[in-house]
Amino acid sequence: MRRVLAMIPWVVARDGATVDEIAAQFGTTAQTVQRDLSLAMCCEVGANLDHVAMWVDDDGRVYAAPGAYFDRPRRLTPAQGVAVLAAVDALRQVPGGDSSALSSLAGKLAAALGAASNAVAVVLDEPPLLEVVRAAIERGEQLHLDYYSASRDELTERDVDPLRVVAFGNTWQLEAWCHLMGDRHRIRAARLTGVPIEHHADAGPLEAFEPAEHALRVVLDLTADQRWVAERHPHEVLASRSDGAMRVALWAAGPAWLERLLLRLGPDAVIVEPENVAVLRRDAARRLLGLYGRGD
Amino acid sequence: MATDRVERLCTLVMCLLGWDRLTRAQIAERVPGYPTNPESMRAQLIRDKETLAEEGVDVHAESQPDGTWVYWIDPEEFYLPELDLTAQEEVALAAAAVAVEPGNGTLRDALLQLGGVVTDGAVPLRTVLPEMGVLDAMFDAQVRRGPVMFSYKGKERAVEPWALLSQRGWWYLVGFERGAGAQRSFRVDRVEGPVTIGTPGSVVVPAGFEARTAIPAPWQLPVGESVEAVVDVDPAMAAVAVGEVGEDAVVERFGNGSVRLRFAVTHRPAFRAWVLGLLDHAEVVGPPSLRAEIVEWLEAMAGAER
Repeated sequence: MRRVLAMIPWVVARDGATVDEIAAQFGTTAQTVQRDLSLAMCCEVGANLDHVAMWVDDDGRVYAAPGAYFDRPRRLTPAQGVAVLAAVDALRQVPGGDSSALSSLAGKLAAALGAASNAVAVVLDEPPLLEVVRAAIERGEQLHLDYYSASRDELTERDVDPLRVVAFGNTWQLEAWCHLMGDRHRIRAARLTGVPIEHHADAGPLEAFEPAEHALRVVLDLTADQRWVAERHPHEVLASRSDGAMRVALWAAGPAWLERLLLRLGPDAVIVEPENVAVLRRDAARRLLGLYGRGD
Repeated sequence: MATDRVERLCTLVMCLLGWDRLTRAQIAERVPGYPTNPESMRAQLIRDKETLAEEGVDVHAESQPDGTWVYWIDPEEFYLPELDLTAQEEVALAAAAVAVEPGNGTLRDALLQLGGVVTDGAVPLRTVLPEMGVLDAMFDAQVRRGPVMFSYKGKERAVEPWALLSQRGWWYLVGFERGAGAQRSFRVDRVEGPVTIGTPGSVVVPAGFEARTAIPAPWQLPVGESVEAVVDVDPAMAAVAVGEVGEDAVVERFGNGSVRLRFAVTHRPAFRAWVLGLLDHAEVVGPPSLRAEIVEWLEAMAGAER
């Protein structure tokens, strides 16, 4: 039903589209399109009115007579409306877009949806090198870059084939093939510094990102106030109590990642296993106290 | 949905859009597929009306002085107002559909409904937005200019929706919480249970409200008294830290590449989480109370064995 109502104005707006083109756009088969259209064509609406005048010619092209029914788009549902406004606003934050067209488009869409012009907003971080990385991907060039590894807390120099930059959780991340490590990595774009562009690279096909396999499994007892950990990181709930406290298993990306998490959680988080993680936390706390003249 | 049912519903929609108002007898005459028995026809029409409502098509009904009912669909409600997009705007809309994934498949549907063409080309920069959850109900409330009612952290809330904001990996509702009498923001994914919409037309977004800056940095949430934190960050993390607190916070850049930052803190736990996230690349220089808090926090862990 929804598809039929969406398809008719689309076909009317594009006189002469082929059945195959329509099927591709609507993610269905040519057979289903034929059926939907014949349905629309045979919707007789009484003697006084024209019915939807549409026909398919011998080449499989679909034509519509002027004044056909449903020749204008239907109103969007709230879910569609907010998705469209969010997408357009997100694209306005991305370098390389046609900003004046996007901004007038956003205004027209909001008005047509009956929403205020700033009803939906998307804030993305703005790494200084985003534009450089984007350009390198478009030209298929390799990057030589300095990168701060948060999981190991060290600056490294790497040659990478940049594949794409994806903003996950409003934060830009570079997906790249790393020549030093010989595998695919996801790097926070804000942590990149100094990116001279070097020679051409063959980026190869895009595959789904997979997390590191060597991650350490850590079991913690968290209080209700520390539930943010479970919202932020992939985890497994091992037990939960009615007061909101819970026991979770997490996969640590590296020692520095784990230090950072444990120092933020503070003394109330109980480390269940492995035992040496308690030593890691203690040593990290002592190391930081050194900055304050309190180290051992 | 069975083919004959789709056909009947499509025809019904066309009829109710095309004539002013139709009685049940007139509908039965024009739309094939209804039972001949008037009572069964009435029951079927009611079911169809419900199905259409689920699809977002409102069929209006009104009783006449003679006891009959008339039915109609308001074209103003049914059709999207004329968008009148320029060629550049159509290109921009198509680009948005390829470059942004709003957390489900609705964007593609919406673009097709707007008459656009979806191409699945690779794009160098792609944005994946957080899961939408109950965002649709919140947006519906915005459009209707009505308050949204929901349960949050175990409390019932009535909030005048001013903006929906995607930031730091989450969707937020920003608005005026009637019970608190103040502007508040709520994580949409933490809303508990269903969302209902109050009296339409009762919400006015204040002039000059700026959605993009409505949610402060976590350490600047209005929780406690304001202190001016002074933090030194070493060269390895200086650029990252400045990116997070803003260029305005830089008071000094040292020769070795490290920086001194000064900025307001009103939520100390969030400040502590931020500064500890920089590990030994950052030191809280002042004020003494803030520095002492960090030391105390670390000392509680420096002696602990687990």
